[in-house]
Amino acid sequence: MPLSRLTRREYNNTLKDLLGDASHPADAFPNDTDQGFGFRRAGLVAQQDAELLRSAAEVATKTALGHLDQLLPCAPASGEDACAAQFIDKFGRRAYRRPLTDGEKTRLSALYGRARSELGLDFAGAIGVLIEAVLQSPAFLYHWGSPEAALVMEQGVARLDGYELGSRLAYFLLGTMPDDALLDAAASLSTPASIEIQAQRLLADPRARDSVSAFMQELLELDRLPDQVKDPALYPEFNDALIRSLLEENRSFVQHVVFDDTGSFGALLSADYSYVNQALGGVYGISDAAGIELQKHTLKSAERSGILTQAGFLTLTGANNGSHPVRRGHAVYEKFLCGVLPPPPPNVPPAEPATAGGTTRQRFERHDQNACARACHSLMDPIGFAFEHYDGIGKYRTMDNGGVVDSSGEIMLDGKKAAFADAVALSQLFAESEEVRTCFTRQVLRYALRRDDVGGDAVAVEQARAAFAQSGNDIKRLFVAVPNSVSFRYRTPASGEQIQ
Amino acid sequence: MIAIRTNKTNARFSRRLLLRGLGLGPAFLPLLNAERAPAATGAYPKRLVTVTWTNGVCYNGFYPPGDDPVAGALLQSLAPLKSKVTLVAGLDYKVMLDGGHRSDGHYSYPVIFTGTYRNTGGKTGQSSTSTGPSIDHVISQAIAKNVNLRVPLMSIALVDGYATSYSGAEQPNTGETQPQRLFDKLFAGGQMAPAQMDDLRKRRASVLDFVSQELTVFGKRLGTDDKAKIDAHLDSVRKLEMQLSAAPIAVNCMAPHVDVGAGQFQDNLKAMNRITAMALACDASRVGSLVWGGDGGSNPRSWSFLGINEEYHNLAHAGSGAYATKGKIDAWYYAQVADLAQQLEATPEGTGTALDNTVIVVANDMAEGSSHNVGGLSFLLVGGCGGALKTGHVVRLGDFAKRSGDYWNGDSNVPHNKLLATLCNAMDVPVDGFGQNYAGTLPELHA
Repeated sequence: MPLSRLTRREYNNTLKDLLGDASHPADAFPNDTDQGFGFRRAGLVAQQDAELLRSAAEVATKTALGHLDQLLPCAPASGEDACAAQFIDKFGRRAYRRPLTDGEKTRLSALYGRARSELGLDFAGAIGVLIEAVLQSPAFLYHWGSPEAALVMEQGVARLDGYELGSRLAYFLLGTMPDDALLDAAASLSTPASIEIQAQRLLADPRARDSVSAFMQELLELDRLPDQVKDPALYPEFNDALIRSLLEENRSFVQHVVFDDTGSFGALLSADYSYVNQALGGVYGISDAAGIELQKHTLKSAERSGILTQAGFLTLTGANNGSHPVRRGHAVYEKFLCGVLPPPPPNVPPAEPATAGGTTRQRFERHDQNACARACHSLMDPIGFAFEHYDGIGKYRTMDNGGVVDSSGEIMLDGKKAAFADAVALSQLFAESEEVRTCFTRQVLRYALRRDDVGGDAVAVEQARAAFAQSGNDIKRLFVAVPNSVSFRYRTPASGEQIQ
Repeated sequence: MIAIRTNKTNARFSRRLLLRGLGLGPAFLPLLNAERAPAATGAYPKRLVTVTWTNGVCYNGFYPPGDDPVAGALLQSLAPLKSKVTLVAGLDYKVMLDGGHRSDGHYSYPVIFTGTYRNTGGKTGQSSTSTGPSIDHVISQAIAKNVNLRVPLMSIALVDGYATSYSGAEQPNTGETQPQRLFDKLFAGGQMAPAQMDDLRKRRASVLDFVSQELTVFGKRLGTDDKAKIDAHLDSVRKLEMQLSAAPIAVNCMAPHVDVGAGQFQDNLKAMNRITAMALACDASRVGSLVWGGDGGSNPRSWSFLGINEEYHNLAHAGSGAYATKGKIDAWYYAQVADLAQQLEATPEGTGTALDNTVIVVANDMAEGSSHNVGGLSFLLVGGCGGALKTGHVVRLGDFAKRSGDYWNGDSNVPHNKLLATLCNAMDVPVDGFGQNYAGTLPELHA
């Protein structure tokens, strides 16, 4: 596991739990887009980032000093220096997600002393300096164990200690720091059984709902929806309110499937219902959806089947003036089949515009005849054509540019050729496919480990996949099985890392 | 979740955010704190600003037929400044071509000002990074040895997450996205009482000192790659420490109001230009790295303020068929360069202007939009860099000089590293070459 830093979401959640500060200061940080990775991952701390981290720490400290009594484990009246030492122990353990090393305690004490003497601050002011400093220190900002401890090697890989494991578990399942119960249990968190107990407990926390839906939104890259531009002449209804509804629909749907229904993976791809308000009702042709609040509605089963036929995914992957088989095919191929495409060859001319005549499919098929384009497009486009019934914002259509929509095709799935009539049929094939479930397992593992899976993770993928299958493909089970896999509990020491 | 964040921002701040300052009319006050001017030349400091956006140029509206660098239709906004403009045509991102990455125009941001390239694979095998620092970083560091400016290097990104500035191998300098924050960094403290400012400085120094210690301990056992991340973090913290002792800005060198408008892309860009020009004129900074678009191609996505409802990137891919529409966006971008240059031109310095002591280096991540090629491309220079550069001409280099008609899809066989080295020398940072593999300069550009 490469060293990684708290993402914006993690920073905000952590500050809320650590200091009761719900002001979401990390919204002002750069977004965590990492070109080389499918999920969010925070980048290097350049000067600009260091300034933003400092500014967030300063503001959070000011707020915290307003309710300092709630953060103090002791009464300063009975001895200020002793109380500061206790604060360093208690607050430090929560902020660093592990007990402090002796060196860390010494350096924090020294800073407290300096704040009292050189800066001339009173007790509260000096505690403020400590908070400010802790919030900018690497032990708070990075996901990592003790910087001074030797690695515990077992068969060439390093075993994470209980605190590191507890921290990773909390960030994976709740997107935030471990609570006191988890910190108290951390010292004995090592056996699969003990991890299982904690993982089950965390998954029952209401905040786990947000983590699972955040995983799905990152996987589908729905956080890019607000950047989309659509031709207002064709899609006058496309506005910020609709974009918010698209995000909310996906979130409500995923949380319902995983936590309120049976948790079945198949339902993600085959459910005939979704969460709809008036704005989305216009897209789905549901006339009795009213108001801003989303309500569960049954959709037309011939037109919709799970997340891939929801307007959010279709809007993100659609063109600004129609469908886009390449983008849609590419997204499905990469995200649900874990396929990897080589880079596009140079000088491939673009597909012709609609004014050249023919349906979108006909235009893209002509483009695919281009010899240098064929190799890749034969992987993406047949999948993308399945979505030809949906326009640029996911509305269903039967005609395209004067021609009848043809969404049929074939795909190699689970080693067999399978034919489909449209995206509804394709989604239902996916819902039952072992290949798609294995890919989904790998995606959850990547999200949990904050890195792509490599050959050495095959054991972990198989462990998690088997547990997932045994549960009847319950996504909740998968989210418990992944942290119990070897890749989550162990890591390969990095090149150049000091082991002893 | 950019739109959602914008909504929040709008809720927290007033819709029309005004950056406070003294209204002094259209021009900035000339440089007042003369003790900062380099004694050797007895003149004004030299400044360098890089500007980068994406999607290439439309060939038939960009290149002029003769020696007037701004005769092309897309460059009309620069016509009043034509004696101060140089078009350098015919450079290759040769370090990319050498690796066979001819069409990876969208992956050249790490290359443009570092002259280095390393392929890092990624989802499509095209991801890339730098193996060294960019010229803006190197030049700002050299200046920092002599004078401790408020912000030695302004790294500005109009689109979150993109940078052409690198402080070293694989270390992009995250760009500032918000005009208000940049303004505060450059000019904050003006309203704060000196004693209060001094307390804040001491407090920050204590905390940063602690953070440096923690980072040092934290990095000790880490593997090579992770250690490099912590070293970069430590370097950033040290820069903040340096900043604490920077000289204050002369009180009477303050800007007119900067109107950030509704916080849209185009409003932010105008505000950033205003602040950049102000910072250069007031000597709060001498180097800027301005990124005006994402190298993924489609950011910013909305051009509705130009009456265009298509993606810039799609227009680029459509090639000459969409030049008419794409050209409007290209021309708008050059007009923003002209706007920045005119603000410096309106600031007198001695017998000339601040623009004469500046060089604005305008780059693109590719040559022409439809093929995304990185050979045979061009840079536009505005300003004479304190007399170091000859201006008001077109320089056609290498095989590009053989071009006839509008189109040139070949390489020039002149590495752009030579331009980078030339710019360093013009900024009084003597080098024989810059970046990977290719030494040498471009004497054609010398005054």
